Amino acid sequence: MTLTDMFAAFSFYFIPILIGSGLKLLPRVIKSHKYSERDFGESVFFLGSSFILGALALFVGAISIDYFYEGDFIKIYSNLIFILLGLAILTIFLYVLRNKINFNINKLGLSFLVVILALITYSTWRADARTNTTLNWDLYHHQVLANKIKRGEFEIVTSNMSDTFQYDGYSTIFHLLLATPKILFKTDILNYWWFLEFFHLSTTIAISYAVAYFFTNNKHVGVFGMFFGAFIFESTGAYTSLFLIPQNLAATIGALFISYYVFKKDINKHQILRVDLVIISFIVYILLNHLIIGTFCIVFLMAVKVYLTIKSRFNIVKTDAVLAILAVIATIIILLLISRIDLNWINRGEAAFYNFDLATKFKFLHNFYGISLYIFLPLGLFYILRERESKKIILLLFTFAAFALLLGQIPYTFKLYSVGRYFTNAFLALGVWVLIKGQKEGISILNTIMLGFMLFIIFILNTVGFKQTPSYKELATHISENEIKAAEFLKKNYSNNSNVMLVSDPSTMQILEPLAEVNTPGGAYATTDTREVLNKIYLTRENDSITNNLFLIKDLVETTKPTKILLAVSKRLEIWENLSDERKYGIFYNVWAPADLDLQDLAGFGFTDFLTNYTRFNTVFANDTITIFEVSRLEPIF
Amino acid sequence: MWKNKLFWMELTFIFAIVFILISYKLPQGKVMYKKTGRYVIGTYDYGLFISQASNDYFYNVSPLDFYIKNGYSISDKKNYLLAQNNNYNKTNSLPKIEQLYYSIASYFSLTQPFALFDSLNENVKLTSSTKDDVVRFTLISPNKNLSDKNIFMTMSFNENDLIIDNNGYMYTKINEYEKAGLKNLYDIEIRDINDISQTILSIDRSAEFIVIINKNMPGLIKISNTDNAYKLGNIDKEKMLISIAVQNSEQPFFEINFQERLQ
Repeated sequence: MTLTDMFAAFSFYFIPILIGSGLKLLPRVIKSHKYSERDFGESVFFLGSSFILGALALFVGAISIDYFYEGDFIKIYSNLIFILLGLAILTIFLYVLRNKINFNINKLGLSFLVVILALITYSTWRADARTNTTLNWDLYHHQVLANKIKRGEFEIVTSNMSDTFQYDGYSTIFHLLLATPKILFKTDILNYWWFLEFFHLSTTIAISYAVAYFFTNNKHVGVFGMFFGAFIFESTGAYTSLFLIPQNLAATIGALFISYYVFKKDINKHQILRVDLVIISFIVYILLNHLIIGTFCIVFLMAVKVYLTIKSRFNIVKTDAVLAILAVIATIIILLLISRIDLNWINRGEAAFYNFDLATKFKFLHNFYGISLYIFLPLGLFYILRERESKKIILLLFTFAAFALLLGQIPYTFKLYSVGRYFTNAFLALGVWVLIKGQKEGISILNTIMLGFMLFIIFILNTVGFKQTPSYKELATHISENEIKAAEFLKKNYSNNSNVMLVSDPSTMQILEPLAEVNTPGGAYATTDTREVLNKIYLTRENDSITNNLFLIKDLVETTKPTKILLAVSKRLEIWENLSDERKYGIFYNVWAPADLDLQDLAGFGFTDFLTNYTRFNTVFANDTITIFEVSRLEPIF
Repeated sequence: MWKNKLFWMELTFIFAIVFILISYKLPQGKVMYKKTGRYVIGTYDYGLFISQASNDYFYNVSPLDFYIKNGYSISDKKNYLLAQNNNYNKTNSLPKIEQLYYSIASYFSLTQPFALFDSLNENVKLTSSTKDDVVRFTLISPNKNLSDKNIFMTMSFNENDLIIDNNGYMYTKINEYEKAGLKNLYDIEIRDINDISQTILSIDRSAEFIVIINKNMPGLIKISNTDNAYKLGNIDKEKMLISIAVQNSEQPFFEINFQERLQ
């Protein structure tokens, strides 16, 4: 079972890459092509661009099936996957037959290093979070959409599929990719995600190498970049390396593409960025994957184009210095303008919670990097200013822009840093290299180990801080064994039934909905109206009033009115009910960790006891963490 | 010349690595801790604490509260074992490199928290050791004279705790609803002890154990009498301390047991 989960997780990347590779190699099979040896970074880019093409092929296929075909979506979509995979394998086979592919020991060594670093980081990260636990809160609402797609309910727009998504920041391409392996393999959701995030981490490490290498054309810097990529974890806001969510996937691919295009442009030959199929597919994919991160990546890419165009066409004395100063001035002006606009209202006031003051931001940066930022960044800066090489100047400007954005008084800047972290890590890697270049091989290896050890210690301490919140018994998790049992019960008895709605505090709804496959009104993103009802039922404690109020709750997507409501009562609900109004009604706060019933509840003083003894709610499931009640609508529906 | 430069660069690099490590600010309260079951044992300014993740209730075991009793009555004068003023747990001011070590060892569950205090220029150590759901607190002192004294080790409790012995005697305030609830849950008949209004309550001599149940936390803590190591002493409601009379020994100790339910 676990092997299947692991292979299914691997397939999240493998299926699109295989299909995309077939598409990319097809012209080279038809027309004779000379195989050229690539660096590891370029191979990573090949896989990244293949992933994009494959993902787009699957998404276009799914849209076509949904639009043109009335029948069983899953059946046709499965056939499409098999056909595309078959054609891709045939193309790759023919390509390999026609080209002599050399074995490259360097690439193998670097691949091995990626795996080793990923294993060290992930086993440390998951030391107290085994396969049936989660540390990524967002996976639950993404899984809700993946479940729907797996059932054949495909839509392009997220808010049409579930009211957990009330803001369309991205299409369902990410969720289609999530669902694709689950359509082919029978998997356990939590195990699947556990392995999936390992593969996500591996890709971010490989791409960290590629970004550092592309900007500096130096394999040593690439390797140091890999270490920074593995051990620097943005434990607030971005969570780039360890959480697979649309913004992080988009940022990772975006950083790879931007750096590759910097690498590929030889400004001495007066070349400028050409708009080709690869770049068009990148732009389309990145916007579908995440609108805001995608837009930022495109802005970065355009900045590269503008910079290189000016640099190659106009022979201004000290062009780099002039451009750098202009870029810095432009960034400051834009930041000042944006900072004057009140953006705290975004996402029902959630934005205000993510609008940190400067001292807090520096504290977070210290958690991520320690003071390595203040030591290696100036060294990198000194080197770049001395060398004045265009690619490194671009890296400098990007890192500067990322930090300017991060430190600006704008909400969500730490989320946007998921792109910026790749540039910063490359910059830091360059700073390390400046300090230890020229040493003998043995000392270089020793230095690399020392660097890795230092970053590893920072990673552990950063992780300790992060795990203070999702902490339950000896585990770090958002979900407990008892909650999983409750979800299994619900799945067995109520799943995919449009007449039933599961209601509880937002956190319990968030974790149970994807695992139980029972609809909830918005999960952790429940509306203010729903939250008011939850508040009212806890305080009223009157039988009919509770029932009537519960049936007033509306799902924003599901049109069928439920005839039965399942009310999940747990310690989480009680904790939520006793929160301040700001936390209770704001979507920024959740009861992140599981909580078990205490003496008050067990001895019969709690809400559970009241519902059991004084209402017509039927207990259908109970354990030491959660009790689930079932109640039917009082009046018939007309 | 070049070799000389390389040497200094290497030295700078090593210095930078060490400096980055020792300047890292550790997460608050995360220098030394051990998770066991639903509880966590950690260090604080005055000793060791027991708590649960995401709960604000603490049970403290502090050598600053330990005392030597003169005479036999519970109201007899107490001589505190350690100086009370300006005596702090030194584990929070250990060298940074040691703090880093303990924090990392704690993450991998490889450490048993301890607290260090000064007593007449000698180190007194309170150690904890866990085995399954049992935690042993041991007092280690270089002062051999301790073994001749009647030492009481203590553990604090909270306002909303219920403390009951195996005979059903309740040492803290309880209302009728709560009594009914406990009867319902554990089928035990709660009995009020005599002189509940007294500040210091002696634990019934026939009691085999007491349990501490927090109304707002799952699980409970059990302290049992043992034949030859320690005996339950008294409950000080003013200072919120449970005293345990430990056997004369060079390394006196007492144990607590974490349980989900009363067995």
